[in-house]
Amino acid sequence: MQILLKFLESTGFANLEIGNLIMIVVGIIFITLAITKDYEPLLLVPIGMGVIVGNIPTMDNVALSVYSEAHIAVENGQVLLEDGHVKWNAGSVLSLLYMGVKMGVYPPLIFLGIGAMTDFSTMLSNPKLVLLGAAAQIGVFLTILGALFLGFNAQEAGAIGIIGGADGPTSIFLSSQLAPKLLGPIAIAAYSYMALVPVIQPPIMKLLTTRKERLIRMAPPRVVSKREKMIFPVAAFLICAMIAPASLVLIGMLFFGNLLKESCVTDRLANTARTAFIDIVTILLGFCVGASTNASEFLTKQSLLIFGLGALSFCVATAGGVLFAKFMNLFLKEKINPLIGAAGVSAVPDSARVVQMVGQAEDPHNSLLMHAMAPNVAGVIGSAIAAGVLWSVLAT
Amino acid sequence: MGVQNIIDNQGVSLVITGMTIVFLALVMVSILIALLPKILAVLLPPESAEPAHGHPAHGHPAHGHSAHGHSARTRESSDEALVAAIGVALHRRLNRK
Repeated sequence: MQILLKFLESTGFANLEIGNLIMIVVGIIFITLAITKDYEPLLLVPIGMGVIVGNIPTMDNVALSVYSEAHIAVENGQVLLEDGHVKWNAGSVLSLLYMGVKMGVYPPLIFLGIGAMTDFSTMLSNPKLVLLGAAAQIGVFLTILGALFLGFNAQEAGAIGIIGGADGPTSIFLSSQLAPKLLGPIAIAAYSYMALVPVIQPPIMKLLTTRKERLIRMAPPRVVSKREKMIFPVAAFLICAMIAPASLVLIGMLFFGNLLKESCVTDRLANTARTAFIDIVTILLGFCVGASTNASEFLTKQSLLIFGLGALSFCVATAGGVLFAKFMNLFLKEKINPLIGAAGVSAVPDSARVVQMVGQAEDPHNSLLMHAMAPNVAGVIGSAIAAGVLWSVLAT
Repeated sequence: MGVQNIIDNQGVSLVITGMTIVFLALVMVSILIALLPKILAVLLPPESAEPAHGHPAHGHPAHGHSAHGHSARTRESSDEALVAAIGVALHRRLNRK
């Protein structure tokens, strides 16, 4: 009877708190949105399931959660021995997988896959559009001011600001380096807003442009030679890494992946990087991030502030890109459609798709997707550089 | 908290410096992209009509007299011969059955 009572005390039902229940509902909402609305299903399904797993109450004496880390038993500064061996605890399986998030291992690996997927042709054919990817990073830096205003310290503010880069792996990477305690809320906010790009961006884009501007047609991109595509990743990496060496890990892997794709002699490696490899890392990253959102760690006032600032940073980044495109039009003979400025936030390729959708709502025959991909991939580079700058300036 | 926290943490300087560095890096990438075709045109002979792995480079005329053009044509003809040989072998094997 005692054994049965002890077991009943250890069940999830006995230990479930209201916070856990709320988070389990959040996880179910993520999965539902992914399945019914097709919002970033490759991310929201692993994250949603991770949220559910991470909020099942666990027993103290069994290592199950991502926070049950491996440790050596120490007492009064002395390592404890057991039968002549160091007494230690291996930690939970989830904590081992979560090490990849905590130590910033997964994000560069994802960047490798993104590089192997990305075709820089549209950016190479129209170099001025690269500037839109830089302009959208204003969302990152203005959000830092907002976070400082709300009382976060400089490191936390930097990690929160990068949500405006609309780049999940970059957000995770930077927060793991600058503010590990905020990693869960920042990662969830970044991925949630990335999934909500089709909802957040269109109203801002319409608000900041006239119908005449939305109807602008752009000249088709020029054909880019194979040599340009091969040389670009190495040359661009050298420029970016020399200017912001702290972005080396992310930028290096991005351009390495792209070199695998464009070199034409490593097709097998490129194919692996852009298929099975990135899928495996995405599963591990998404699931672990979700599992780290235990209610006791996640449901705090800080998390709510982070969500608010994240939404603000997305809006500012979108507005920054659109307004800078309009500014560029003051000097350009061949006008650019300012809608493509919104693709400067790096959510690839969703924000480019949104540009296409908004553009075609005005003129069904105006295809902006190819043009929008240029600021979109420039935004990936821009947000990685921004992360590098913040890391190098704010690292303690 | 408040404006004092922004001042204490040199928030405005951070914003200006950060945006400047991001712009500087991407402006340099933009200049690189703009100059790349011109540099390549000066330093290297024009690309063949058929770049590696058979993706045709549209907009780049074939240079039949160049060594690249010759090797591309040779590879193309040997590919055709290979396809023809495989076709004949398959045809014979199927007929035997």
